Amino acid sequence: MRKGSSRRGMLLGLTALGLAARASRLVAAPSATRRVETPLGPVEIPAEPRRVIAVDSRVSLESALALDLPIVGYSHSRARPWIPVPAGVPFLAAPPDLEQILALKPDLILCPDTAPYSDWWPLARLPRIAPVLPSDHRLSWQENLSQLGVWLAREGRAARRIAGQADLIADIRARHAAVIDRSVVASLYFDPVKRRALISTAGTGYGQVMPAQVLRELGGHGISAAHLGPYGELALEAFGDVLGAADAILLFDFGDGSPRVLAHETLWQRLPAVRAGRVQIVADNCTFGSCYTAGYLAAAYDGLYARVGA
Amino acid sequence: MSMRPRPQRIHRRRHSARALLLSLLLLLLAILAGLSAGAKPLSPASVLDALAGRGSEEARIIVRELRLPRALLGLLVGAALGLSGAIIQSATRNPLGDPGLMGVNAGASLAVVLGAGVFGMTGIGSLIWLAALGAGLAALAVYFVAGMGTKDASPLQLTLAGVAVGALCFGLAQGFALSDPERFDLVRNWRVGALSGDARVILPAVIPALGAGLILAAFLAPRLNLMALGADRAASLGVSVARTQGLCLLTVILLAGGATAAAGPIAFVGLAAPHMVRRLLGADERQILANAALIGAALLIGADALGRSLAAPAEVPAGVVTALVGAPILLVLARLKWGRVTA
Repeated sequence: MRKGSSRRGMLLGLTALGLAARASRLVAAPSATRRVETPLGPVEIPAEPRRVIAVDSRVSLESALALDLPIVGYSHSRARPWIPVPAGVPFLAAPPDLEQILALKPDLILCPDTAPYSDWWPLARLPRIAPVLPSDHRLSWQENLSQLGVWLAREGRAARRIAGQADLIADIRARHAAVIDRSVVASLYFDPVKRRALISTAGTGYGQVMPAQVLRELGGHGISAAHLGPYGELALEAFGDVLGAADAILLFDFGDGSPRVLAHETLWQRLPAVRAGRVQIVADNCTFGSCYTAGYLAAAYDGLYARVGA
Repeated sequence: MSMRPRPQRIHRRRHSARALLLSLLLLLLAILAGLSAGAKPLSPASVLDALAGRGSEEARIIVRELRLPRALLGLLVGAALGLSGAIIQSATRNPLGDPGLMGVNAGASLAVVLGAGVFGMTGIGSLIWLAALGAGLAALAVYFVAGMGTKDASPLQLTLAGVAVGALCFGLAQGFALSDPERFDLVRNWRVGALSGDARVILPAVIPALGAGLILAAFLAPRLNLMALGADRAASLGVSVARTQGLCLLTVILLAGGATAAAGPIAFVGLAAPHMVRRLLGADERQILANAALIGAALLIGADALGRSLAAPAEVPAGVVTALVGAPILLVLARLKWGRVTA
């Protein structure tokens, strides 16, 4: 009996959830829709979205802001200081709470395709709430922004953001071309608990990391992933072998005091880039993102190359 | 005692001395492996040169500033875990006795998560003290919950209380961690046992607790031989059972709490080291405690060296390696013991 009643309860619950989802979609349904082809298959999206959820505060949120989409909430982690989130847009539960998202009655959801069945990026379950447009973690930020612009018929906005970044890059390159061409730059975060570095470079398990993307835009040279762990890990005792080749270092400070801890390590102090004062400390985590993080990183590289050229 | 034939006593002493030498040799080999292995492998000759202040400057820094303090941390933590496991197994007459089973790991995790999340304490030094406090409180809770309504707790009551308190602490820690993942991400790394922390910061903070625990363990060893006969017999032989059990608990809190505070939760060392030793040495608790400390240290340092070699230049945390290597070892030991019992 109890088993039967709990089954009935579950069925009722699922039906209610489905009806609520349907009802919310009906309530928020815009007047016109358009059908777009995505890696998830054909998706019916509103022509003019009114209530957009960005599941990830890095690529999804930045892309939504770049395309002037009306955001009603975002998840994963709080927006970093350089992301212009409008006042009043709430930071939602993290990992995302599907009931909370449902209650916000979104008419469009943006979500990375990193792990469709995970709690953090539940791409496989979100279409039951609202149409979902995915970003592809194997593509560059420009490709993802362009694709989203095409789907939403906002190609012009996407193109302007990408062109703005290209202008910034061209300006930095014009001022530091010689230094950029001859220098090897390492971008890293030092984990003060595990006492190892995580190098942000192309070819690691993290895929398209922003420091490597922006360095590539600049035409700069980074550290090869061949001598690193699968996710760019580098033990302290191998610093000399790998970072000894770097002319300059971009050091990320996640707010955990890691640059201060690293400054006490003898193997760090011995690195040529450190001894020459060619280390630029960058506040916060810039591993993933889109146009805003790209601009922030471009400015950081600008400062670093200025140090090298000085 | 004096009735024992002299040749048998001599043989037993020789056997004990050989076992102690073997344990010491294993520990020395593990330390040498720990000093040689890593992202930048060094030959034993280079290690010895570096220790003597010769060789390249880089090798000297790697050996003397990174690997030697790490091996020392492994030595103390592994010895503390081996000893505390042996004491728990003897005092509770529970062959599955392990610091983790007394709720020590889960208590330490909960304290760290609460300290970081509620009070914003994220510095390494404060995390160590929080972990020690949490481990101690959890072990005390297990002891009192198990003893509620009875004169002294049975091994089964202690095990059940340990599982219950551990599950409660684990659930609370998970709940707090999920409520603000961003904030708790800072302590995520700590929750996997490893020797990667800065030993120069950690050791001064935990040496008083570990040192006091080691002294207490040496004091307890002869009494544990009598306790192994059962509470009634021990009492009839003049042992204060309640006081001895209280001292055992205090020793375990100091040793396992200090070890967990220093390296995070490390599985299987406290369980496997006493088992391995017991198979070789029989029932003399003095021998078991001394050898369990040495073997525990050797296991942990060896696991750390293996973890640094397998995934170089990254590393697999020692806590993961001890679980991966310790589980099959324990299964083999259990199988051998089971085979002997049923034969």
